[in-house]
Amino acid sequence: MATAPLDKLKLELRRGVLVLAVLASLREPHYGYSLRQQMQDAGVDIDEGSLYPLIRRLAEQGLLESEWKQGAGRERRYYQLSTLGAELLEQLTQEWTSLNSAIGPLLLGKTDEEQH
Amino acid sequence: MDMVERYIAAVQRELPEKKRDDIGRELKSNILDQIEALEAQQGKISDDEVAELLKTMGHPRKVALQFCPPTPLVVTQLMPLYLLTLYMVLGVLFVISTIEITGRWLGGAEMGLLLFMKALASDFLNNAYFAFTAITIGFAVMSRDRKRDTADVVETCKWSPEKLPSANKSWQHISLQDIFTELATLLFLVMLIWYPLWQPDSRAQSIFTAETLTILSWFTPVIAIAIAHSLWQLRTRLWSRNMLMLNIAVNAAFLIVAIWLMLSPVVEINENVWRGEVAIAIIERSVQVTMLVIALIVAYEIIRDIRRLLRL
Repeated sequence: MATAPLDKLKLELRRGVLVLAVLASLREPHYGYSLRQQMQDAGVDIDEGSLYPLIRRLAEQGLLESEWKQGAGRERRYYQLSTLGAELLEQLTQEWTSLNSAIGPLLLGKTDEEQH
Repeated sequence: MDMVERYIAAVQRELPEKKRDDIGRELKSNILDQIEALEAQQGKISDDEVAELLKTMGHPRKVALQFCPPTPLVVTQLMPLYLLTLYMVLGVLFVISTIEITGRWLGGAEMGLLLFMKALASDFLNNAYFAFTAITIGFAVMSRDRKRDTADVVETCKWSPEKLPSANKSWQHISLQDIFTELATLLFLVMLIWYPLWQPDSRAQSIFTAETLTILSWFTPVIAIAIAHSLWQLRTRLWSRNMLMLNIAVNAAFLIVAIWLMLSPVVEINENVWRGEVAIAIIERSVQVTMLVIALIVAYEIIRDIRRLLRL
């Protein structure tokens, strides 16, 4: 019954997290398909239609560097975290850790007293 | 492979020209990677399987939109300012149209109430189309440049939370529509009263009797106060105690005049045009009913404002 609102909320929830996951995955250089594979192996499922435009947007914002390379008989565009991207990833990771530790008990329904 | 090329070309057709080559090149690389991965799993794949893969990627237009999402004509940050500008300009145009059409009517143009309303609507819509287009294009250009946004505008305005007016009741907020309707009505009335004086060379004659015209002429300062009050409302957009008291006083004056006019002949009837006692009696009766309606509306507003004043 509540599929549409759930899907919308899930999409909103995932949007920011996926950016973090992509930035974290691109500490090492990857091309589009290999990045998707790596994320899927890590348990983060994302479709091509969302991933490829997201990488381009992050590159346009200067968070990623890209380079065309020849490999296995054809060209691929490799992406990697830029210096700015690495700085932001560090800050975002701190934010994520802080949020996660705050939200965890809330989701489990624990009060302040129970936590201490 | 031909199918992949056609798919990429279809996506590129939906993209802005400067991004076509780059996105097309990258998309092709990504699709070929996926085909390669499938072939590694299950050997050579058929055209049907390639078609299935492209279908799962989505319609070319959808893919193009994912790479280059459409930007709104007016960005979200500018939307409140855009709507406010639109309402203000359209409100002013409505007032101007009222003045213009009333002028034409008083200048001798033959039109009944329905034709008057039609002319007013037509004149207003003509101006409104142009204003709407011009404002929207202006804001679209501003949105494109992103040189200014609402955040900047708000930050440059000096304000402090302590000085914000208290507004506990929802009725305290005055809508722009109400203000402009009031302004248009008042200006219509002023023109009706003073038109023969504005047009001394023309043969325009007042539609009122001499006695009514005298009463209304003396009443003009009250209308002027009401106009000034409406203009002040445009600035504050919030009912205060003082504004309510002024509104009650103005409406009380309107009520007295309406009752006075209800009891005396208001309209100068040309007996050559309106032949027959029945026709004249109908006109006089209609005017009396109109005055009664005006008096009732004004009385309602007085009672409403007194109740609001007591609750503030």
